[in-house]
Amino acid sequence: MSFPLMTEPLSNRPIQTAPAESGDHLKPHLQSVQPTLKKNKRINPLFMTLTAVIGVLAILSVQLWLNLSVSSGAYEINELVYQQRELSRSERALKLDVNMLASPQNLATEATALGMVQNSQPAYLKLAESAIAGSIVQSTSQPKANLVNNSALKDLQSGGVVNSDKKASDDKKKQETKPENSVKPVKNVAVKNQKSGVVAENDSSQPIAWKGKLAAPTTR
Amino acid sequence: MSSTHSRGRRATFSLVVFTLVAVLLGAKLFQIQVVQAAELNEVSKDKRAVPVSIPSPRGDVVDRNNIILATTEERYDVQLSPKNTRVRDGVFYRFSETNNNEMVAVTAEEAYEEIGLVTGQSGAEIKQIVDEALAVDEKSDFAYVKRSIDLEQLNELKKLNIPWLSFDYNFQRIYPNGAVAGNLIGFSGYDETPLAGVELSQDQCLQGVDGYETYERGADGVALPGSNVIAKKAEAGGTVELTIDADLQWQSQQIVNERVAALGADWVRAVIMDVKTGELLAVAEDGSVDPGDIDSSEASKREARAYVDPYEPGSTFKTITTASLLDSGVATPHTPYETPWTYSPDPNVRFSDWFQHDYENWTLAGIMTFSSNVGTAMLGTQLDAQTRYDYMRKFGFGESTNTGMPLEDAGLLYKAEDWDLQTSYNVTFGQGLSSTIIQTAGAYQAIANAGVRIPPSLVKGCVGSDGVRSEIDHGEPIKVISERAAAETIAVLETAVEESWAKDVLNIPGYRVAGKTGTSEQPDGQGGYKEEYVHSFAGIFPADDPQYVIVSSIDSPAVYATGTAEAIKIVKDLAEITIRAMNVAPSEGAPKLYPLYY
Repeated sequence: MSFPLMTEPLSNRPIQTAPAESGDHLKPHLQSVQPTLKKNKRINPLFMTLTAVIGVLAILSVQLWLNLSVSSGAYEINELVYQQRELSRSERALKLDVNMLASPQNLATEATALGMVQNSQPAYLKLAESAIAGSIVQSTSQPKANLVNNSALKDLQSGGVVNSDKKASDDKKKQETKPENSVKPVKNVAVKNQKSGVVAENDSSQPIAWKGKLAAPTTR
Repeated sequence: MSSTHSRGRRATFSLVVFTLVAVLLGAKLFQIQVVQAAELNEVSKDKRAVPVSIPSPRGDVVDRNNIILATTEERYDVQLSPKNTRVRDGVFYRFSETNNNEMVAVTAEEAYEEIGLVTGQSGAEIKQIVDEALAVDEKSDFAYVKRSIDLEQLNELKKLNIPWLSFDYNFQRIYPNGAVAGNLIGFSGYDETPLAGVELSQDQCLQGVDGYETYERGADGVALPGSNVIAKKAEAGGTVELTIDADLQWQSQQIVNERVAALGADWVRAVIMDVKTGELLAVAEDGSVDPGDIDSSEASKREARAYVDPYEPGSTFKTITTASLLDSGVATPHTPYETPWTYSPDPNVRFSDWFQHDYENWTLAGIMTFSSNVGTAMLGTQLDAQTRYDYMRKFGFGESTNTGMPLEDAGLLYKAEDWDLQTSYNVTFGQGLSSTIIQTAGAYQAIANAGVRIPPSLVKGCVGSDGVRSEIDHGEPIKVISERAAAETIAVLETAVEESWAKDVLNIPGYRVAGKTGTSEQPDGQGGYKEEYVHSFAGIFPADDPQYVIVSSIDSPAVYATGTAEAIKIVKDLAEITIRAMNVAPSEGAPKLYPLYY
């Protein structure tokens, strides 16, 4: 352990031994350092103050920014929660409307208006036995008008003044734009019926009862 | 030296003062933070946090295919502040609809008109509401404009940006399918108190648990954003699942409503039951209540009469007597009996058939086909009264069904020891006792299901808001008769249809139907019987592989003669809709018919 000491320069030796001789010898060393420190501080007060002030300002502005962003986030969340509530409300209302429209009373009324009849006695094809189960001569029956009350449906159809107003205006628009798109099939029916000698009642507002063979495209 | 001394004193003094202040502050801190903490928290909470109740929506009632029969929907109340309508001479400003940067002045009168357009009131009506409220109290801050508007109307009103208009929401019960199964679902009173049907019997499942939340408000009373704390979540009510098929139910009600009007009958009822499960697919009654509009239905028809109004079943009950005879081995379908048209086994006892005839050499199958009271009574009473009573109980007569309705009548069945001589004979052909149409369907279900009666059910179960399902116990299946006796009974019933005029009415090409007619007298409440009859038909189909039991009853049709044929026709119509709705495959094989004569 003593070998490294042996390699040190001689000039260091007195300093190493000095504390062992007397404490007074240390004072000059310490005192000589102080003046240089004071000299440095004399230049620094303004700088230090500025640094401190800037530091504090920086901290404050970061804090302010954090506060603002947190609270604006809270407003945003609030807005989104509100929006979500509104949307789920309208989703529920629309689902309920679908339920009412899907009620048997409404379906029956709509189907009857379209001129649909019901197959009262269905027959079945048995694929495994290549046989027909049931009678192939089918009877259809005219559905009867609805006899089961549904007050919910009444609400839906009158659905507030706004709703029916909208419907009315939508219907108007449809009627106005109708001739262009829907006149073609009507014409075809009229022509075919004239050929077979049947006078077609060309009332475009009513569903047209199909008579004769179903039209098939001619493919070659 | 003196300066050092005084400096020491000053330091000591400062130290003492500082310590004293620190101790005082510490003590106060301790008092506030620990001693008074709970009390102060409570006081401050009331000042800052405002508790709000979160109402829980009532659960849904759905059919077997999850079609919603009853649900709860938000509806909105429109309110205004009467005193604020007069602020600034009744003029307020809002952004123009055409130009968003421009403010336009709107008078209260104009606003009334705008509101009225949405709510369906006139401007004058709304003005009257405001005037009346201010006449009572000139500082009035609250009045309803309109209650229970829907979402579309609410959104239209919000767009008007009227500062003194506000909204609140509440829950309203909605029945999207109206009177479809209305007799079973039941209805609620004005304060949403359930009064009848499943709404009443399953109230515990349907009811939710209200929650509450708190929010903090600033000095101006405005809620602080993000301060909402849900202290207790609202739990929505559970969903009640019915065994009913909404489509079948509607079609059945259509048929029943049409028939009751056409026949001028007091009432018409019909039931479709699944043989394998005992589940009721349709319970139709004429003029069933529309729970969404109770006032539109007759008060006497608001209850589920199929459950609470038993009647004497009459000849459809002969099937029970036949099944008991076949099961106990006392008789076979071929058992002969030389049947007179009227008979008096004891001096004070007499019963007769519905038509006069000579002595007929009928078998049991013949007696059933001609629906002979005399034959049924004479063969039936070969079993002692107690045994017959026991069979009846096993078939479900004399005890309440437990399908899931609030009230289910047990019908009237006296104990065997209480039967007088006439009653002992009468019960064999379904008089002197009563049953609901549900009980009759249940008894036929046992025969159709190889002798095992599965108690009828209407409510399948309850699915809680947490998704946990709880089934309802309707009772244990009961082995009533042997499989052989059940098969023989069905064959007897098929013979009764095939060998009689009923065949022409009941004709469904490809399908075999077994069944029994019934025309029964009804008590007049004074110890005698009324002039009018209840006509019924109870059918099992397809007879080769029983899947459905259908029972119909018509009370007091205007024309007596066609009553029973009309009851058969209802069963035919119901069988046809069941075939379509449930995709029932046609029957196979030819019916095995018993001889009617020996």
